[in-house]
Amino acid sequence: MRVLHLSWEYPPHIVGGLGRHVYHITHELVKLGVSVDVATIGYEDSHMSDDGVSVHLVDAFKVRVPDFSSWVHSFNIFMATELSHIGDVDLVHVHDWLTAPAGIVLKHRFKVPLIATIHATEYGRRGGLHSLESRHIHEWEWLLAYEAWKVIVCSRLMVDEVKSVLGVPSDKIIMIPNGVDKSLLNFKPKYERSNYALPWELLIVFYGRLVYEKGPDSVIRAFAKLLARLGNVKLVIIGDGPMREYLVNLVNQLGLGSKVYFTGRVSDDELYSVIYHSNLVILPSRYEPFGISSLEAMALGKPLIATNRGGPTDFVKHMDNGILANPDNPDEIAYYAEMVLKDEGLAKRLGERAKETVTKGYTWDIIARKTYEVYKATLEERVRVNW
Amino acid sequence: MRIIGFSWEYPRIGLQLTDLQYLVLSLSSVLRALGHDVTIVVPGNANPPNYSGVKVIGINIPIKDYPNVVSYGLSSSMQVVANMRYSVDGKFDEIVCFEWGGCIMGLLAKSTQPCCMGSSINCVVLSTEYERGDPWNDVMASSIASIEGWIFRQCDGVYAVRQGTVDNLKNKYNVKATYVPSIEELGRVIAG
Repeated sequence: MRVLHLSWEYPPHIVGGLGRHVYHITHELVKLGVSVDVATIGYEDSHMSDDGVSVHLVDAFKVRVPDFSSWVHSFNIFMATELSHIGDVDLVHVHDWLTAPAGIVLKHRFKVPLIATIHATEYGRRGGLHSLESRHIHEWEWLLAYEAWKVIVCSRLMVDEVKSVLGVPSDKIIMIPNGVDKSLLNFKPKYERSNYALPWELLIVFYGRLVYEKGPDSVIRAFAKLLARLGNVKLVIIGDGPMREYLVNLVNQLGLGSKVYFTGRVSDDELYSVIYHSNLVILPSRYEPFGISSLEAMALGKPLIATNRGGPTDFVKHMDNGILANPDNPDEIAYYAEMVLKDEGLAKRLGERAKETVTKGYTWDIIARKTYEVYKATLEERVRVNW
Repeated sequence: MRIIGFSWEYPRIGLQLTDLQYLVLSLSSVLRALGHDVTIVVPGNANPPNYSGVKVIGINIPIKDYPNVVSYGLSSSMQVVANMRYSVDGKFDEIVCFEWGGCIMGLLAKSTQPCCMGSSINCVVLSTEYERGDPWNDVMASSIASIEGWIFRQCDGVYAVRQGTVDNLKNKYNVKATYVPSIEELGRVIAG
């Protein structure tokens, strides 16, 4: 079985979780005996082998373009023309609308089924379609779902979203969650705890893009309330984004001063080290299609306060392997944070149960096996169809 | 010879004729009159009448909203080529493209469509963005000029019906174009 994955992100070019997803799933599929090609963007047309994954880099900067959507369409044209000649492909697997145009052309070129993983929708990301560009992207998402043999989504929230927003019929949708790297389960920190907090301070961590959807402002407001009740706490905010300046001002306004530390973007090793050393992780996203960050905290065995909206509600069971809280209610977040920080036994139990949850169902080898089953079933259906 | 053409536009009854529509109509008629089998592919699901024995195939493009003309040109080309194999029969000896939008479709067809693989690809240019707009000061015009330069360099032959356009193609895009003074001669050159 030979599968061609199309993704605009692939390491080292990573913007969000999509690149990591494609990297891990393709490497695990190779272990299952699947021949995997990945087409992604680069700075020149070239080809390389990455641990058995055949990676086709397509120069995405051959022409000048006025905006993002035009750029996306330009590299899709380059991708379709470059990849058209590889031949003997059994399936084309597209990740999000960003490679949908090339994926659809190649589907009809090879006459093979198209599998689409929709990681998030434009409607969900923006809370509606408020611009011409958003409508354009939304229509491409619709076309991708329409052309796909099967649509893979990562959570129940996304199942509902592709049904209601893109009109995808239920029998076409398959839910396969995201996963985490197995090595996280046995992670050994490479950075000292003393870099981030004093020995007597309880360390709370938030990480992710500093944007409204991720709820960093709620963490700071909850932290202010918590600090009034517990003096020995420290908040580390890891990540960067358009909301950073607002958040720094908010910290100053609330008089939190040296109790909040903004690290900016850090390496994966540093990020996981800080999580490892922490006493509590708070990730109160307002919109979260899946929540791979929550899963990473769980893999590291940390007590987690996650959002009670979207993806995390699929794998976080309230007061069993984590805590679910309303992202728009800092009082609620502070209440649960105090509960966990004051009760070591509870924190330990939540962390252990969280790690168990990840081990049993959310590592990439398990996710890849589920994806492989989708491929097999699709190919069996393809044989029976006159196309 | 079987010739397939790609254009953004083809004349429609009741609508004003644009210079691009006139060029596509007259060149395809000349090629037909020379005895060639001519098929023209255009975006849209309208079925234009069969002029002078030229087969015109409109391919529906499902996407209706575009932020700008560049996005439209690039995006619509992908939609046309994705589904054309179900509307076009047999193999073609030659591809004729009109303007940069037609050239994108032509190049995609040559690369991805069994009916066009191995065909030579020729482009007919009415004018360059340097004649229509201001690529030095306008972002959109600059982008179109960049795309024109790239796509015309991918073609086997580039033809223009104005000497000024040929000069621009050479000086601005480094593309060697051929000046052809009339549509009749253009038809003979392309089919020759």
